[in-house]
Amino acid sequence: MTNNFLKNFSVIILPLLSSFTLIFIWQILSELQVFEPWLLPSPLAIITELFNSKQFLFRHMLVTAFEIFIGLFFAIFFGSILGFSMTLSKILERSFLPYLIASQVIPIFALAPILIVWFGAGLLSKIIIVFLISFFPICIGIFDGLRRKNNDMENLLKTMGANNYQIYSILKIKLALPSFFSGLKVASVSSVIGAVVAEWIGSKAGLGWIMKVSGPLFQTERVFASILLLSIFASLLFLLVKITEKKFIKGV
Amino acid sequence: MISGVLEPTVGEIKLNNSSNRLGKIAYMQQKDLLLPWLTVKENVMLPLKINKNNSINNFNDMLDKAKILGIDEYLEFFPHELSGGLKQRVSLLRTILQNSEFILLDEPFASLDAITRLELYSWIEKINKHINKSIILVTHDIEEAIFLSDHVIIMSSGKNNFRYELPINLKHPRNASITITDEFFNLKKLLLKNLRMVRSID
Repeated sequence: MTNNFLKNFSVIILPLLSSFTLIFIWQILSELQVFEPWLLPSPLAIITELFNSKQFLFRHMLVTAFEIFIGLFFAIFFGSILGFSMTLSKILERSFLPYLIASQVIPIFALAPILIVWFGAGLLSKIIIVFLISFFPICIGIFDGLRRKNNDMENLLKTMGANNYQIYSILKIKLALPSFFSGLKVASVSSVIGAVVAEWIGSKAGLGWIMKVSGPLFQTERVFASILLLSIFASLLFLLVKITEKKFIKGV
Repeated sequence: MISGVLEPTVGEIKLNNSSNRLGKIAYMQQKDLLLPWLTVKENVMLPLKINKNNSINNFNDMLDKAKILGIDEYLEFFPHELSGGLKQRVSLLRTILQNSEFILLDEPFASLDAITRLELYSWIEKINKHINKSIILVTHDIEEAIFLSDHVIIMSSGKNNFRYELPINLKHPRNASITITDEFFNLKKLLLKNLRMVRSID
């Protein structure tokens, strides 16, 4: 009991304590006018900005969130299909896997402007960029997961009279889940980066767009408020993936 | 090979005049091989689910046999919450529920300690009355062979490797005290002698 309490204390309280201390020192330094407010606004100013423009900020956060969710959805859908097909067919694996890996060398920063020229400054280009950035970890996660073998279990299922479909549904897909979820976790974080980069390069809405236009106007507290919102959103997204993972992976 | 996972390179293995054995011989291995993400209940019902046999009758049948093996209290547990002996009992129940004519036990007790092993022997004696199936037990343990079998065959490696046969005429149900009777000792001596002979020929 006490041990549990101590564990919770160290997991939850300690990180909070350290960040509060840092924020507190930051606030004091701002009060003493150590930094120019337009260079580094005080924590209080950022929070005030967050509340004053909450509708404006929230509306744009929804845009970014929409791009991320739709992009991720398609990445999960098509990534799983390709990952699955590559385990079934050596031909598909040989013809796709090298290019899939090579494609990761191309920085999204280089690709984004072209995609924005092709698909416009609207939502579609952002969704495509989120899709591209999260497709790889998901596809590889499924692919590697399905190749994870447990021959003893597979043989046991065969002696029970299981057909191939049953071996996949009872055993292989379950064995692939941990690897799939690691891929999805990576994808969920990088998809946020993808969306913001894409908005930064060319858009009319979204948190990335706010950051881009507010900087040159010296609305630094608005930039910081966006960053805060974005990091909260990214953490929640990660948490969502973790909770889903817990639901799917039992008894381990 | 007996279970049908592998086919022999020379000759044939036939069960009721068919070499198609997969799904017809229940196979239990040294490792418990329980699926960690399924509960005990889901694990033991797996062979029935695979063969689309999980009717309520079969479920009640499972409950009866789980009681005999003393695992009815653990049906909602996950495998990692059970001890090694208990896991093997669950694995045994799953093997029995497959409802095949033959059961193949491949050193199922090798990874257990001596006391747990003795316990499992008596569980097997108990359940044996209720299932009435042919069981092939592969083992390296002479006492285990005598205790559980009605018929012992000594094999060597290589071709034509049936070396020695010995019927065991001890009365069922057997319990741990049988291992210190003269009858048991004589059988053990006989088997040891023949094992040594087989070894020296090889």
